[in-house]
Amino acid sequence: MTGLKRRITAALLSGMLVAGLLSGCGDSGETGASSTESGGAQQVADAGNGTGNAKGRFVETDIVLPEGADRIYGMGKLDDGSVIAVASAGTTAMIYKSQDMGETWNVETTFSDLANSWIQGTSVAPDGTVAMVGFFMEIDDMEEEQLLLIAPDGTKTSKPVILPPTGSDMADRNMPEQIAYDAAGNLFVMDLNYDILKADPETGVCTKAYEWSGSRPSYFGIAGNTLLLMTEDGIPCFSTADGSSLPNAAALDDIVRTDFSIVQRASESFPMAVTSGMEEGSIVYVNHNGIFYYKEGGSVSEQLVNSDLSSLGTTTDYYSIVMLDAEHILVQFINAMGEHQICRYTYDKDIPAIPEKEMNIYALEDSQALRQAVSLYQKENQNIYVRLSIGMTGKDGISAEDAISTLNTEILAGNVPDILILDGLPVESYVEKGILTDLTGVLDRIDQTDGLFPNIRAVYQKDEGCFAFPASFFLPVINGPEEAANVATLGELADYAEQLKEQQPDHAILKENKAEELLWDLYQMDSASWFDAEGALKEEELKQFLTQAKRLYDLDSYPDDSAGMHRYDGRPVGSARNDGILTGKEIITYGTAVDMIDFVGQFAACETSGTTCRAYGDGSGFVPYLMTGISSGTKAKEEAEAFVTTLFGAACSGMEGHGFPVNEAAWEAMKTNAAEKYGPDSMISIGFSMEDGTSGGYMMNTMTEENIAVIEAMLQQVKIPADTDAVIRDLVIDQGVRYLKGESSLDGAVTDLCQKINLYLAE
Amino acid sequence: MRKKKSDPICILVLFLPAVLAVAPLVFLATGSFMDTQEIRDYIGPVLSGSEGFAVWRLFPVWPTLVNVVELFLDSPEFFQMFWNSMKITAGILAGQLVFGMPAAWGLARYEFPGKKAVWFSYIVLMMMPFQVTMLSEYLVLDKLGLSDTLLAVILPGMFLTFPPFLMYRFFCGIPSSLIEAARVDGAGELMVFIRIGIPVGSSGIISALVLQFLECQSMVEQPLTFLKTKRLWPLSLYLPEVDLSRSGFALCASFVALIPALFAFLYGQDYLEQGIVASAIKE
Amino acid sequence: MKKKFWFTGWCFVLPGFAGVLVFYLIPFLDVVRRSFYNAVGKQFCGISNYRTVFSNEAFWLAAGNTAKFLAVCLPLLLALSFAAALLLQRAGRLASLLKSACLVPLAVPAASVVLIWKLVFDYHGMLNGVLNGIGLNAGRDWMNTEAAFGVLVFSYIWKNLGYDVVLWLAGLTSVPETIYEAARMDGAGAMACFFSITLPCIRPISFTIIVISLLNSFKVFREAWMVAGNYPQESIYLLQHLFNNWFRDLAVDKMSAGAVVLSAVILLLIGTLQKSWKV
Repeated sequence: MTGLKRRITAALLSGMLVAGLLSGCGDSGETGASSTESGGAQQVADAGNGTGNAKGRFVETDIVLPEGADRIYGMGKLDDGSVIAVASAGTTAMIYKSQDMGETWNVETTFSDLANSWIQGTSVAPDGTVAMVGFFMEIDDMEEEQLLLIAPDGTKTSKPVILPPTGSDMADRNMPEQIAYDAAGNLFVMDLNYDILKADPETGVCTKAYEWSGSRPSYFGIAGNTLLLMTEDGIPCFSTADGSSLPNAAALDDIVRTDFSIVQRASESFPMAVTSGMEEGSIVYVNHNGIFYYKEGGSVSEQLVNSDLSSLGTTTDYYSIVMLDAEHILVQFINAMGEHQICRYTYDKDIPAIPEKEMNIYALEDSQALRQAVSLYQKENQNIYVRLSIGMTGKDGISAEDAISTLNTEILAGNVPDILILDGLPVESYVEKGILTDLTGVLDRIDQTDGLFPNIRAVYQKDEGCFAFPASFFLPVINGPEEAANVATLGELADYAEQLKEQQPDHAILKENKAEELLWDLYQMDSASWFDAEGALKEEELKQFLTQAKRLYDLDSYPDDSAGMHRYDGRPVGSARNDGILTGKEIITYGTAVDMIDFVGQFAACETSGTTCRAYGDGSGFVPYLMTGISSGTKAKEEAEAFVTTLFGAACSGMEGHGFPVNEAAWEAMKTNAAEKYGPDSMISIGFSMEDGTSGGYMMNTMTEENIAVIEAMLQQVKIPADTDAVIRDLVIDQGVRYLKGESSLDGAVTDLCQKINLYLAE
Repeated sequence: MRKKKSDPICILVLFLPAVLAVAPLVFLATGSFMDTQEIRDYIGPVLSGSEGFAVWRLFPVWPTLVNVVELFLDSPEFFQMFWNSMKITAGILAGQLVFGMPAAWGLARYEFPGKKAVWFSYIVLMMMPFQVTMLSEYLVLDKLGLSDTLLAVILPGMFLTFPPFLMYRFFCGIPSSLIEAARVDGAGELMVFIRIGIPVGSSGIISALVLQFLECQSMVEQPLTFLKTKRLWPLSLYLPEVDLSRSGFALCASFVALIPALFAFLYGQDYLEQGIVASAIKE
Repeated sequence: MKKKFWFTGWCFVLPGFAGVLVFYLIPFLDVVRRSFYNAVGKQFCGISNYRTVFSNEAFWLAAGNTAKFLAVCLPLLLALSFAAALLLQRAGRLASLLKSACLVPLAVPAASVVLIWKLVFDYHGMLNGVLNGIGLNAGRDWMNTEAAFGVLVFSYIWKNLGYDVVLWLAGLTSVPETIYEAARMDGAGAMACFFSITLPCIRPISFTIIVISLLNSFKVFREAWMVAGNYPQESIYLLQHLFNNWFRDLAVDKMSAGAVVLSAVILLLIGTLQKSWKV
């Protein structure tokens, strides 16, 4: 019996143990819930809920530096309260100064030609001295990095940077990675060994400033006289005055502990910037969660700016931050478009601390174009909280199907996002089940003010309404000899290409292709014609498609061993490359053109090689992009319509990186812009090496009036959307790849494909 | 029990399935110590469609710890998710002990009105594919304010009907004489359950728990649907699609992820056999 | 003997059953309700959903495939695992090692299983590599031909063999050794012992094992889905594929009706099984 007793005790004990664990994890489950991934946003929301309709929030405005500055190297606050920014326009570098909280800026000093310089780091000392490290054209020493100092009066001195030898085998010589001034004007450098060194401005000699034995820092920043190291375990701080270690601040460690992506990005970008706050010992920092304030000894950081309510969340590169006074903050960063930008955050005590209204936008895949629209909308509507959720981030194993099923659960449970970006979602089912609301009214309004391409409008405007509409579209084009550009079908293209191949067996005819990429291109060019009036698939067309795709694939026998694909805004479109014709590598190119620059190159190819660029086939097909719908269950219908107006509006959809706009006003702007930038007077040129080893190039000056008119004519004649059903597209490409690679026979592939598609249609 | 002689033919016959069963484990283990280039050479034909056929080796040619180091030193989210998995598993197993086990006992040893209905509902609910009840379950959890907390996964898991179903059979197998004897000794019904039911049925209980443990480790749909916040995700959602650029790391992560499960039945089995022995001694 | 304790019985069952009620039974009843409503669940539409489902080709194909899959793999798995369990009983000291080995597939995460299936059964996979090596030029894409069904059955057996073996063993070991000894004293041979002692004694647990194998056969879907996607080769297009796709298209009405039909069939199946087993 003793054995039995022991067993009972053991069983009870283990039961209790597990029960204990359970109660523990119940707690953590709840706390976990209140700190979502964008923890910052939640904090603000909570604070808002606690205090009812609390007022006061920092509001973002863009700052434009005069003289067309488009690259910004650094920014810093001086002892007298003014602020300095180092920037360049073209190849001229300038130092700008603002005395009025960043409202107006004057050029203080113009210095150096930066055309062939490489600048690794820039920092501004409190006395106005600017330090830069890198290679400078005018110093003309490409052996060693130079430390260039520009005194407030404009005098320049330079010294080679002398670093201790590198301790790793990865590089044979040490290099400065990052520099920063402290409040006393000492300059600190981080080198390839990830050591923090103190630089002597007189000699350029750098000596180790701290002993640090914890986990390797990847990045550092200085706030006043406090130096912060970013490591995987936390953010240890040191005094810059004597190198002593400061007491560990859990609130700062939490920055990296709660959001590890910040540390992960540190090797290739600047995921965080720091500065000192207004009070002694306080630190202000910015990262993709927003701007935060930390007071020495405090247990948490206070969020000043929520990234969801600013452009800060759309980027991951923050170069510098300056706190001008308690109500003005400047941040220098790289925006979503990869442009250098300074934003000012001004405290407005009269607007609600958190926007009272909320709007949710859902997209299956991330898109910079969409993020831009959100950021633009957010700027114009400070009283609305826009939340963008992305179904497939690509960082985990979540498939599109998983994401859609989760979305559907929420839709059916009544938690519908206000706006749905329908690319990749089952649009037809959503329309059929009444998930989407009619856009006719809002489209009419845009049509009246800006104009919408009538041919596109006609595609989506049905009798019962218009439930989904694209923000922009792509255009299938083909470029080659007249006969190639004029082909009506893929079969004719293959015939012609084979004929050329016979004449020049050793020369590549088509652009380089891989099975998957080729099928994407051809699918988007050709699939518009596969369905009859009732929407049923024509089997013969499918068979033709695969047959011709195979002929085109086999023609030049390009190696096909990697899955890399050309991408545009994350989508596998936009492979209308032209460089092959220009370099003499190939004779025909095809694919989807996504912007004017694609055409600049296409026309350059036409000019130099005498080829013709046309819309593929009869020119009726197009690929819609950012299909948008407003959900019928939305509680913020007005706001949602306002967002759609922004997304389809001239300001947004005319931006580069959006495809061709459906908005006529946006198209007018795009035309003007293209004519200015790439018109006959343009001096911009692109160089490359030719197939035969010589070097070549072309002038980007092909946007003549005639050529623009050609593009416009193409845009105006599209009327059949391609690639509307993600399920069929994926099946065709999947099966097609197998067929092209010789893993299945044509009949096998067609039968299999038809069977699957019919199954899909039968469901 | 005394005459444990091995029969060579039996072992021979069982050898093949055993090898097939262990092969994936070997595959993952070996892959964990290969660098990406080596893996690419072996399985490239399948993953990128290059010529030739996929092959594998029992031992890496250039063994490396790169993947292990990356996993343990550079992937804190791996551990975050590992702990989430452990919390979820512990919660569900505890719940099964507290709720599922008595239910199984009640169903096995007592007659009461409605028993048949309860019993059939257990079986049918057990069989329902998750995606069918997903929406309705989501609505319930939403009503209870549980969605997007670990409890949204744990609570339903605690009441999964499979473990009681399994334990039921083992409780049924306990000879009535044992129970009657205990009752005659003056034990209350709860005492009978604790002193006879649990120890004698322990092999079934532990089998059920071990199997449930494995189930918890490989949950995909439930956490995906009920947990929006990625910080709460369990390990089963982390294991990334293996692509060629990070294949070594992915294999290593998968390998480490299945270690707890291996331990579970290595230890579980010990108990399992002890339990069986114990019940044999009782006779 | 048991009767007078019915109140106590409920006391044991109630806490667990309450949870089942909230988290499973109510959602299931909601599914039943939805099967009589339109897709968004707002409008009553009688049995029209059932009519749609029964006239849907995809449903019959999926139901047929699922039935065929069950009919093939259930008996196969039960027989193989029972044989393995009997052999294991005689394997002596190595038994525990072999048994552990058979359990390994249960622990392998689905993502890894999928990868391995791809590596083995792909056109460029190891199986074709081996066949090629021994001179059989069998270049075929296993997952995209009729062979896909075989692959699915194999993966089901592979994954669940250990599971069932453990359960059979638990059943076999629970037969008291004393009974065998007594029988042998009476001069019964091995065969006689097997048929008149082993089989009757494991009869109750065999019911459990059948039901569990049935349950696990529904779980093979996740792997099939991850390997072959929403629209696999026709022969492995199962009910869950259909349910999944219906849900993607928000056809909750059809999905619910389909699920109710499925549960009715399961109920019938289990009921019959239980009757014939008399357990």
